[in-house]
Amino acid sequence: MLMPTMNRRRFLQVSAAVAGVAAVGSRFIQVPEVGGTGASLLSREEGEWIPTCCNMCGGQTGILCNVVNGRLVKIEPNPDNPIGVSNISTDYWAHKHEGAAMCPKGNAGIMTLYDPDRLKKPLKRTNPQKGKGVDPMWKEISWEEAIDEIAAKLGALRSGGEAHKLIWFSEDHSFTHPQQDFCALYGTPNYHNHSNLCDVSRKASFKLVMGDERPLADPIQSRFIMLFGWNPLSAIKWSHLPRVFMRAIENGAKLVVVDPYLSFTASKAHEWVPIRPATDGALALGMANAIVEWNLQDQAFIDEWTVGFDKFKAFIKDKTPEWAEKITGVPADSIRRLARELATTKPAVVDCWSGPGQHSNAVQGGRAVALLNVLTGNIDKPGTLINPDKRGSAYGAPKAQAITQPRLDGHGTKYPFSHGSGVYTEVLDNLRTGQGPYQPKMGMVVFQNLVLSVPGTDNVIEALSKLEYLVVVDTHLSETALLADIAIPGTTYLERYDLNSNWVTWSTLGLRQPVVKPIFGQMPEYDFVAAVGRKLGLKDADGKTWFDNWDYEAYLSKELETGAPKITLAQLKALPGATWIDKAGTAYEKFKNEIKLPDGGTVDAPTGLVKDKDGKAIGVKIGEKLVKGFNTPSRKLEFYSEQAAKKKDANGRTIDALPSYSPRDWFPDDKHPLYLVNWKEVTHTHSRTFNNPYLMELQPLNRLAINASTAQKLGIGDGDKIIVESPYGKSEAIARLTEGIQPEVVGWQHGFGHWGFGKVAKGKGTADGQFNKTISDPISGMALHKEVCVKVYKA
Amino acid sequence: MAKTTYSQSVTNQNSVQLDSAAEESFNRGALYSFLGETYCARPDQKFLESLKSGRFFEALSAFEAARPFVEDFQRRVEHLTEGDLEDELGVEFTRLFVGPGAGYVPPYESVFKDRWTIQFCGCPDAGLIPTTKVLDGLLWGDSTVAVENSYHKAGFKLTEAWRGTPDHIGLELQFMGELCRREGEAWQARDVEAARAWLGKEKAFLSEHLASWVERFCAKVLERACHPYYKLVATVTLELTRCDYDELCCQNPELENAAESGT
Repeated sequence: MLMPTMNRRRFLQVSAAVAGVAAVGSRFIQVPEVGGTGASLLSREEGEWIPTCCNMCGGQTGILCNVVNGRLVKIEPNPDNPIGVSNISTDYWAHKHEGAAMCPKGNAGIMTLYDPDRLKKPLKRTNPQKGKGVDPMWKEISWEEAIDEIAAKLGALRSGGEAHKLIWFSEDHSFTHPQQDFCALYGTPNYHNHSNLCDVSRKASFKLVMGDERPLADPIQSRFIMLFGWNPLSAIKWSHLPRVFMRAIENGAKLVVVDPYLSFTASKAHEWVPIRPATDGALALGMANAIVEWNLQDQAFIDEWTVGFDKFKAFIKDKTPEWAEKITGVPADSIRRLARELATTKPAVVDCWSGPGQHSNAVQGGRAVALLNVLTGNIDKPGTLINPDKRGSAYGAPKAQAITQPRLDGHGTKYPFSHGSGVYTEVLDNLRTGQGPYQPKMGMVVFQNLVLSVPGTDNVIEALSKLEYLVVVDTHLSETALLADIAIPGTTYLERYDLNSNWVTWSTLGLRQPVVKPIFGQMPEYDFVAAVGRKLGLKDADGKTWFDNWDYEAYLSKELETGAPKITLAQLKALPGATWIDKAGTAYEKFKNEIKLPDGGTVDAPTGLVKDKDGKAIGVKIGEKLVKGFNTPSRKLEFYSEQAAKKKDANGRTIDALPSYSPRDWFPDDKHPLYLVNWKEVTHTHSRTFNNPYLMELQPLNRLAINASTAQKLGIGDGDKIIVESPYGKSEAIARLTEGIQPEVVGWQHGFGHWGFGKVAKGKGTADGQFNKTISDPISGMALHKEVCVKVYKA
Repeated sequence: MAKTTYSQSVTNQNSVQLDSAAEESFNRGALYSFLGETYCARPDQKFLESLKSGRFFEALSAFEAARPFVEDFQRRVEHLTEGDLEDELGVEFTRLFVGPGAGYVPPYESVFKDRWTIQFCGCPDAGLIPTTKVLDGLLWGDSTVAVENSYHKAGFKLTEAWRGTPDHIGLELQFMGELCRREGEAWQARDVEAARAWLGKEKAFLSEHLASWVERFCAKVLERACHPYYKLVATVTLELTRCDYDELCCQNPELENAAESGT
């Protein structure tokens, strides 16, 4: 009950006086036609169900959104999109009627959309000081002011001949094309995106071996599945993964998980192989040794489709299981047994992801693992490692003036087999130390929280603080946004468009579309980028202004019409589940597809390489047939990589043509005696879901997993407060004792330890990146999230 | 003390009283609208300009509870340049009502009134037992829909220029301002029935929405605001809604609740 504290007469006097002083305009308009009719927005209508794609993580699961009077009330899986059902077309069509899957993050999407802690208006920093714990003293500004100011700053940099000094970081699945257009037309080569922080060492390994940077395992048709450092039942990227793995087990497949940590997947596996971190390559070589020793390799397949087997055979001669045991900690007997099972069970598949992938020896280790598939002939057949069809939308990049300045990150040069997403640590650490080819001045960060996601938190903060001007676009005031000069409110996936393709083994494309209007009237990121580009008057090489009359729906429609679907955006929307599916389905052994010798083409006699008139290898002669082969220099699977041997890594060392095991750079010592690894679980994505109350209920903090025997030696009990310390950081944490972790290793879930973001996220758990050195793998440029050693003691 | 209540105005139908009722309504409406605007946007140049005359301070000094803040604020106005004052108020506005961050007071009814229940089946890994947790509301909760529905039923909608959800404190105050203005117009037109109907809508909206959370909201603003201006605004908001709630909802039980009757 509200109780008045002043009498009404006095009150009315005051209101009269205020009325005389402060007159304001109205934010309401009268609409007499609806007044008095009793028409209610609270009706019990069912509303509409809008198909779209999730983006709580990068998995792009198909979803259906129930919207009642402009308000999202429920999210369900969308079985008309294969993501969430299966990655194999026959299995998809046979089982889609059973429904699709969605993970907890997808279910919690509404809580992100309607989070009161979201960034709502453009904010301008008024405190020039930057750093952890420094209040930016934000002042809200209008969108027009924000765009004007950003365009003015960018314009000044460019007219001073320093366009290349803009560095740009973006998420990797959403609205990347308009951002790439912007960078190309503006004149900076320094565009980077998230993949570099994720799986680019895997990309490099598989590309070197089989010419495909993202082959996909086909578990559901497999009989033997061996995973190195991958947790698909919890670190779900594609929500069909738990189904296809569990069905495989029901169908009789054996699942083996190699991981220092008893992950959720390992807990469901027939066998968990606790391995010493970053020694996966040695284990794979030990298995290869045993397979070849017993002559269990698929020799016919090897003879026809591979190069360098003899050299590989000679090379692994001394890589015995006993040799591997010493390195990996896995008993030689187990190695032999696993080798025999792999080689004698068909079909089988071996895969590896970020576990072994985020150490300094990741690429060669990944090659050794990938080659187990080659050795056993498990390539592109049902139940093996598949080269997916990747026909989707077509990106029509603008014709832009050539950029003469080099990239700052050594992509393709210092890091010879890096990915187009760049090398984050190289850019940021050079920015910090001033030792790059030139010093960047401005930064644009779109939907990326560099501070918590790039190794070496303090270094990243120091680096970003050195930029003269930083713009961050995000849904929340992330720790990175707290360093911005202007923070721009982003949209969630429920408020914007995108096209999502290439996540299953055949060509499909799902539409992401706004199910509600951006709730704070904010511009979707693509419109914001276009508005800044328009203000700058960016032109293509023909002098045509690029962003005038620019419209993202028309842009996407063109990508669809010129791509594989050959339909308009409107037609895509009208398809069941707003998903285009290539009816051809999953194709196997595409490397056997015959090709015709093009006009002016040649066949190289000793190698069998089929070359076009420009000398580019497009296929290979096998027997009497000209076939597509693999997208490697030899058009075959490569045990021995000549292209690798021609390059030096970032440390100036020649890369071994064979997948040699070399120890990673940083090992435990007396001062920091334990390996520290991190991982992801189904409860959270990267560092960006931690203000979501549902997800924080599921996983509210990240306790440090310590083997019970190790903990006993350290005098640490379950639930104890502990200190974790590396040469780069020191922080409090809570111990969790378990038998499910290799005794030399401690580890935890990534993404916790926020000081920004929002009231739910703040102060929960420990940030893992603070203990790391800001470095990358020297071959692929993969950020090294797991190459850390720490000391752990009771607080 | 002689007091003009709405019921008296209505029964007497005296021309002078009707005019005074109209003026009262307009004045209340203006105060609601002004307060609403202070939560919707940071103070602009025009407002800062208007402070120079001192009439604003004079007017608000009449609120005893607000007086210390008025004095404090007046001192700042005198000592700061207009640019610095604009920055200072802009930063404080952003910290309090745009957020997020330490001082943020989410200005949304749904956050204050709605609740989310999470039934948690336990997480042995983290040593957690099954629980049921009740969380603060989010944006676009049931309250938001109900507020938008109130606007709709009263014959109003938000202009396209508004970027945000309908249950923002500033909009609820401005909506009261609109209702008061329409009431005033009805008194002016000597349309007693219409005036009573508008009063009924004010009463309904106050009791169902604004008054149901404004006290908690203002208390938080008073607790978290560093700047006297926003302490002042919160104090006046509280006074206004308290006075009106007392008048409309407690002193005049015979006033029809427009929402209940569905008119």
